[in-house]
Amino acid sequence: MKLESKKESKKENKVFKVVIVGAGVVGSAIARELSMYKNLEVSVLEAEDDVCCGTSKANNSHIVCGADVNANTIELEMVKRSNRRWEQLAKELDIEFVRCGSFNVALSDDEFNNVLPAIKKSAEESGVMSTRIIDRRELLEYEPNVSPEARGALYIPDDGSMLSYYLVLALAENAAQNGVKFYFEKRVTDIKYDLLAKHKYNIKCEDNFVIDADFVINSAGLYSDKISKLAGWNNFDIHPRKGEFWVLDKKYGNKVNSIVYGCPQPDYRGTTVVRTRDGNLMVGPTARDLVDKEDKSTSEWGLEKAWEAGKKIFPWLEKSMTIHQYVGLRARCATIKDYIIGWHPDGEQPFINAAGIRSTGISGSIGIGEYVTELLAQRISLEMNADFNPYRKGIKSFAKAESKEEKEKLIAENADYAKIVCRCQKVTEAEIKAALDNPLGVHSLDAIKRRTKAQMGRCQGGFCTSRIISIIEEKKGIDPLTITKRGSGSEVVVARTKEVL
Amino acid sequence: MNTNNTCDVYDVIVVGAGPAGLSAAIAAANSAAEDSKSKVLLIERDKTFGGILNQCIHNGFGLHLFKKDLTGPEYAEHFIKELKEKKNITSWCNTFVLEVLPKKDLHEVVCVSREHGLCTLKAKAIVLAMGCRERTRGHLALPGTRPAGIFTAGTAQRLTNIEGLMPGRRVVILGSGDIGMIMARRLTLEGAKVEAVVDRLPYVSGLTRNRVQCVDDFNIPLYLNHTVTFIKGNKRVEAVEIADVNDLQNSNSRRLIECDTLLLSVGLIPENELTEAAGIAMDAKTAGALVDDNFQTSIPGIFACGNVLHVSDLVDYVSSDAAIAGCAAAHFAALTVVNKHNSIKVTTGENVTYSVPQMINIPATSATSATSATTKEVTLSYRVKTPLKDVRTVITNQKDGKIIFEGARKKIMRPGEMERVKFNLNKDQMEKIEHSLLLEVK
Amino acid sequence: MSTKKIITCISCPMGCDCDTENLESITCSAGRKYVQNELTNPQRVVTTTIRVKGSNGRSSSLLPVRTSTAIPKNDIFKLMDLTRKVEVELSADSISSIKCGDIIFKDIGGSGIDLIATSSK
Repeated sequence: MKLESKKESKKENKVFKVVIVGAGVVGSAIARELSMYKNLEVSVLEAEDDVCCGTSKANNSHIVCGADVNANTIELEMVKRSNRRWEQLAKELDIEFVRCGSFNVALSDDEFNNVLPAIKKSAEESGVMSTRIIDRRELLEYEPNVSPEARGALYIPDDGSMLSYYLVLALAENAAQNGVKFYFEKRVTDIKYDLLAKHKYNIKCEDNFVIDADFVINSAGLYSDKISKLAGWNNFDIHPRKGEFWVLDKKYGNKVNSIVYGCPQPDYRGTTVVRTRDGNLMVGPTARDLVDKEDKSTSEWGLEKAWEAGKKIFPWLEKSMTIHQYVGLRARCATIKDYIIGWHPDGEQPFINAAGIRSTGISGSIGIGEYVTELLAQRISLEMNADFNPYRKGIKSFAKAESKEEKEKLIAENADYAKIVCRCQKVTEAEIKAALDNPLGVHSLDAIKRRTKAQMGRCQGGFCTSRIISIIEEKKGIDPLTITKRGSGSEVVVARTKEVL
Repeated sequence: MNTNNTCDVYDVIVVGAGPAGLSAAIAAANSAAEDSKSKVLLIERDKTFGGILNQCIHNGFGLHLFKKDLTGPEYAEHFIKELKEKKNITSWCNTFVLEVLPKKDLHEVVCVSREHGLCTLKAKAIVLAMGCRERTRGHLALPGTRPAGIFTAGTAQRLTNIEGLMPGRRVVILGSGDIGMIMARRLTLEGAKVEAVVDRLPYVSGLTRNRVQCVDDFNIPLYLNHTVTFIKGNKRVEAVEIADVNDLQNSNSRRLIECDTLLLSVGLIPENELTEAAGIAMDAKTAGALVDDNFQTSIPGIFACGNVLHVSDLVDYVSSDAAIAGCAAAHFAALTVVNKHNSIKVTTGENVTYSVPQMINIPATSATSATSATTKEVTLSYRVKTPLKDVRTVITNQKDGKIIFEGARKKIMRPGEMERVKFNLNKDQMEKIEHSLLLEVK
Repeated sequence: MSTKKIITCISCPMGCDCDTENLESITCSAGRKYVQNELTNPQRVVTTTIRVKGSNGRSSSLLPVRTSTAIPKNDIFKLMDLTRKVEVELSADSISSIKCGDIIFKDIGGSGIDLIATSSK
């Protein structure tokens, strides 16, 4: 309190009951779950300029039901808990979720006769009894364009698909609406624990941002080992596993209906071809273990590998169909082959790790939120917040409005729906402006992209980037020179014309 | 020019008001001059007419058509002035065409704008003139990180010349296409340092005059036979790695160029999403529609011209071809009976990448009407595959191998500069060509 | 490597490489004239933009311009420096106060160069 009365313009001091470090899918799911309780002041510290800037955005939108998750793991438990909630959650958060099923395609008799039964058996060991081995004829009913070599497949009907960044945005926005405070570009540099202090944790971020907390939850993804070490929990390291992906033009979207894998590789599930809820096909990922957590670069080698694997399942794939490539770094722990979730092992510190989240992070996120809340309830009594509003409205998409009448209705409500800004994805000015009004208050080009899909199409922002800059400038009164792609340091332009020398 | 009139049925709707659309709309309006009721609608998605010409502030336009050296905006102004004088053209800007729907009697165009909302318009004929878009980093699958500072050359041009925003200070340009070289000069003039222009081909892919005036004039290092192999930088581009394409495996051939910006000028793609969705037959070589010498597509009454048909290097030819398309569309709209004709194919042979039109109409010959045709003038636009020295264009009847046309010997032909020939088919030749002509350069 | 200077002629699309030490080897008259000019007094038309003062509330708006004639190549950057410092003003009462073809700056900065608007504002 005394600190606040002092005039310290730069130094902010905030106090929260719970501070969550990291706003990926796990942090956002925990934040939303905790926002259901009224005696918690929760904040989230995120190093990047928006939620969903790391692993959570860079995956293939596959929601697994647990068939390929090892039995007797926390991971499986989390995935199963989540799996019970997707339909309801999708309704509450206004996001699309479809149980489209997934397939492991056998491309040889050996795979059909030996590999498929083995994966079916292991799915059953993990408690997923609904899988079926189907023959080529039945596979063709689901995926008519699959390779002529395909002998059949293991069909996992309970798997589903959801755009991961839509999920994270929706969770975070709903949490924010229910009182969780998000801080962006706050990279945690130090965590001080003092058993005797009023608030046991004093957390320092870059730029002299300081925050006090009673509880800390670490969901820092790739950096969760570093955060954990700051709290003296040292026994694991996160080594990123790189996956490279190709994105195809939407016009080929109808060639694949669901999520189609080859047979699993020894140490990872293999490359898949997926149709996302947005209608793009994606080919990937690869799996390559790294040391450098910042290495988000695509490589010729990795892309080629993913492509070859995809082409085996769908031989008609041509590189000329692709519009983009990207990388996801799975935040896995090399030594512990499971999620690391629980209280600090010293038995005293009010610090929870939600770390080592392997490639199933999106699928396990909701369960993790639930479980971490239960952990917290062991040490504080949580009171339900009667005002909690589980509903969050997404931005209505002009392109997704199916009928003429629906489109006309959107325009009648808001004339900005009649102005197309992103030509490839047909995103309107109304949607860009709605994205700029997001409850998290972020406004980088990538933030707009994840919320509207503008710049995500075949021209990759060639046409609309300059128009979006103008809209941000106009609506938010932001100098175009300070508009970034994704946070400070990534300013899009460097100066005004006539001012470079 | 009207801006607000709507009517039940338009004679011609032109989609896109860049150089092709402007020229097509004016030609359509002109050729229907006697019929005052004839109506042309020109639809443009941007807020101004002229398309990409508005950001092409450099000169070099109009040398063929006007015998003048004009800048892009000046060239556009010429057409926009004429457009405004035409009473039978209605022009809508800020209007986005969502769909072109071919119908048996009247075709339909679905568009949306603040002024008119979502509307479905009917037309007797449609001219597609949507232009093209730039190939991106994603098309090349260029490895590396994805920081700020990667632009297509055209986007950078718009930012610099229209928005007044500089894309970077130290720039590497991949691809020696025309826009890339023009931007090398433009950014240099505005105070940026262009560290390199890199092209994987052994020659520049744009016009020679652009190499001389945009690259050589400013001593910008030109790396032919090279490509960018990696992009570095987390938040903003920090450097790009380039390598000799003939020696890609040799790490010694790789070098790092520090820069904050990478511009891509690696080709243009006709914007044919509307065309393909309408079910119009496409040419894989041009990535545009298959057309006859009236620029009519496989669907009667739908025409295509300009860069949506095939990517041109000189706007003058775009304008003159688009005028033919516009005129033909107006004629189609005025027709009550479709004239019968046969079509012959133009096949591309030795050294030729593609040729437009792909089809030539010749009047249906019948023994009873011997007077139907005498000669027909044909213009073909085409590109050679590689730079060729001391060659000529030869067109033969594929059936009997007889030479129909032989061009003058040219010292050099380059892929970056479109070739055009004009020749006459006489009645005798037309009768003898059964299926196709063969276009070769040798 | 020879130090012999080659000039690529751009007076026609052929783009011949011309040997500057042996002008007789250049067979066409346009080419010879071009190379001669390049050797003695190379000139270029310069196109650029000029800032428009406070137009439309947008932070910046530019007017495209060109030099009225080709100017000596060596003067290009001098001209660019001059164009950076000037602004054109739109008269408040007229919507279209600048017409394509108008001389915007006569003898800019005493350089003897006239700048012409290439678009209407």
